[in-house]
Amino acid sequence: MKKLLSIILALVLVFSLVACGGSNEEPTPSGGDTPAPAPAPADDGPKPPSVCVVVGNASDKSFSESLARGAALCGTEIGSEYKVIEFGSDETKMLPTLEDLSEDGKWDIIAVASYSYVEYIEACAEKYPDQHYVLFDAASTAGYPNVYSADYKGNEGAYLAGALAAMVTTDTEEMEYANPEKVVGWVGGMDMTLINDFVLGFIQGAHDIDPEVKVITSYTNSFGDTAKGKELAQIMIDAGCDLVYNGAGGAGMGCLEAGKENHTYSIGTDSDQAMLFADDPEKANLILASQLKSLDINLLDVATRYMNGEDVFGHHENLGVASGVICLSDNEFTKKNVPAWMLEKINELSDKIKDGTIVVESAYGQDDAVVHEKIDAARP
Amino acid sequence: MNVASLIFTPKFLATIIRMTTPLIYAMLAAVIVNRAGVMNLAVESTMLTGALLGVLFSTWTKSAWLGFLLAIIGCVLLSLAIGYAAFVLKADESLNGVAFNLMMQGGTIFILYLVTGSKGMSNDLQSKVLPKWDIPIIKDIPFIGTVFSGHYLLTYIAVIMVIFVHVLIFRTKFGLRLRLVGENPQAAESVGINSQKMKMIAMCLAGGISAIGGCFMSMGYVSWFQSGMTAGRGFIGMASSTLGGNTPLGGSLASFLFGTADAIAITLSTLSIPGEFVTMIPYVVTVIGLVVSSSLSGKAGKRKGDKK
Repeated sequence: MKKLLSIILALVLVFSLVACGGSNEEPTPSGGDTPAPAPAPADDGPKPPSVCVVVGNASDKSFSESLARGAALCGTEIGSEYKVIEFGSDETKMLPTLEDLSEDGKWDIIAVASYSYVEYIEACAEKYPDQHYVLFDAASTAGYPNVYSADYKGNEGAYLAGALAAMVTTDTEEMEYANPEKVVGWVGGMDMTLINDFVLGFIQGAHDIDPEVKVITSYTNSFGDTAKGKELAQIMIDAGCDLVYNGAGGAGMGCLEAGKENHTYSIGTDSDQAMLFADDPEKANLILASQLKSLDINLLDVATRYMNGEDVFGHHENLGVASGVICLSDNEFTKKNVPAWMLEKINELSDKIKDGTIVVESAYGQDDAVVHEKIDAARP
Repeated sequence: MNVASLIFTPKFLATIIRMTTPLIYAMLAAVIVNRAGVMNLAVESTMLTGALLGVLFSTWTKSAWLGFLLAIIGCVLLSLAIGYAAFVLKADESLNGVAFNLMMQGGTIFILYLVTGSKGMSNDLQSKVLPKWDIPIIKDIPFIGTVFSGHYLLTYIAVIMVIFVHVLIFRTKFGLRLRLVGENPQAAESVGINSQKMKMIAMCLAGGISAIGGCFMSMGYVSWFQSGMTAGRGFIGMASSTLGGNTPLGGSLASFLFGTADAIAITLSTLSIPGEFVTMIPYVVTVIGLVVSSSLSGKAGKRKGDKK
C-alpha cells in the first residue's frame, strides 16, 4: 500500500514537472499544423522568407495567438516555410531559444512580441548580424540593421471604440438595453501609460460623438482575477453604465459576465471576445465589438516587403488605424447587433484618422498627473 | 457621484457578501488544519484545483451538482497526497505546501490544456453553474432583500458550514481529539489517539471545504475556469483564520473584514482616488488586524499569568 502510494506520488511529481516545463512542440494553428507545403511561387518570383515565431503560449486567445496565426498566414499567402515555437511560462527560456535558432541559421525571419524581449533581441542582433529579427509591440531604438520593430497606436483603436460606445449609450431607441444616462465604463488592467493611452483615446472618441458622455475609469490591478473584473463592472453598471469596455486580459472576461447578468453591452480588447463566446449567444450578442491588434497582418506585411526586396529591417514603425493593424472586430455579432449607421460612422472616423483629419491624443509623452486629470474630468 | 452614495447602499453590502464567500471557505479549511496542528499552505492550490475540477466534471456529467461533488472528492484525494507527503514521508510541511501550490498553478493549466487545447480559460467547455437562491418573503423586504437574498446557494451553505465546523471542533468527540492532537500530540498518542490519522482526516476535510470555495469561484461567481483565478484568496483565508484565533466564528468576522476592505477598495477605485492608495486598503487592514489581535491575545495571556 505504502509502495503504491509513493509510486502515485512520484508520478504526480513527474506530471507537475512536465506541466511546468512548458512545451516546445508545435501548436496547431487553425487550418492544419504541418509547415504548409504551400503553393510554390512561380520560378521568376522572389523566394518567400522562412518565418519562425517564438511565443510563450500560442493559444492565449490574445496577442501571442495572433502572432502565431501570422506565421500560418505567411505560409498560406506567400508560401513561406514556418514554425511556431512555444517556450511556456518561463521567460528565462526565451534567450536560449533565440540563440539556438539564430545559431541554426535556418530561418530568414525570427519574430517575437512583447516589450520584455527588447534586450534579448538586441543581444542576439549584435551576436548574429546575419539573422533578421522582428519585434512587435515594442521599440528597438538601438539601431541594429537586422531588427525590425513595431509598436501600436492603441489609442486610435480605443478612439473608435469610444465613438461606438457613445453612439450606443445615447441611442435609447435603437439599442434595446441602453439607458437614458449617458455614462459608460472602462475597466483597465493596471494604472499605467500603456493602458491610459487607450483611456484617453476612448474618452476623446466618446466626446467627439457627444461631449456629454461620461466615462468611469477603473483598474483591476490584476490581469487574472475574473471575479474582481466582474465586481468592478457590476459597480459601474449600478452607477448607470450601460456599456463597459474591458482592457484587462483575463480579468476583463469577468466584465462580460456582469454584462450578461445585467443586460448591458460590452466592448473587448486584444481578442475577438464575441467569437470566444460564440456558443453562448446571450453573452456574445451583448459584446458589440472588440478592439483588435492584428499582429498576423503586420507579420505578413513585413515578410512580403522583405520578399520584394524592400529595406524593412533596421527600422521602427508606429502603426495605427491607417496600417490596418489596429481595427475594431467585424464579426457576425457586430453586424447583427450594431445598427448599420453606427458602423458607417466608425468607417468614416477611421478614414479621418487615416488621412490625418483626426489626431488621437496619446498618453505617451504626457505627464502622469495631466493624464489622470483628463481621466478624472471625464467622470460623472 | 460621491463616496457615500456608493458605499451606503444595499448593493454594496451584497458585494461584501459575494466577496467574502470564497474567503469563508478558505478560512474554514485553514481553521481545521490549524486546529490539528498542521501548517497547511496548500489551501490556495486545493481551491484552484476545485475550481478547475468543478468546471471539468460539470461539463462531462452535464450536472452542476454532480460536478461539484466530484470536485470535492478530487480535492480530498489531492489533500491525501499532500498529507501523505507531509505526515508519512515526513516532508517539511511548509515547503510541501508551497510545492503543491506551485505544482497546481502549473498543473491546472496543464490539465486545462489537455482537455481544451487552451491555456488561459475554459470558455469552450459547456460547464454548468450552481443556482442562485431567492429567499422567500425576505426577498420582498426592500433593503434587507437586496442585501441577503438572491446570492448563490453556496453563499448560504457557507453560513451552514461555519456553524457545522464550529460544532465539529468544539462540540464533538472528534473535535476534542483533533484539538488534542494539535495542542499536544504526545498526550494524544498516550491516550491511544492516532495523531497521524487525525491529521490526515483534517487535511481531507480542509481539501473538501476549500474545493467548495473553488467551485464558488468557477461555477457561480463566473461560469468558467481561468488560470490563477483564485488570485491569493486561499492565502487571505489562512490569514483570516489566524486573525480570528483559529475559530470559525472569529475567522468569519476576519473574513468579513477582508471582504469589506476589498469591496471598499474596488468601489472607491471607480472614483478619482489614486489606484495605488485604494489597493493598499485591504493590506493595511490586514496589518492593523493582526497587530490588534496579537496585542489583545497578549493582554489576555498576561491577565491569565497574573491570576496564577
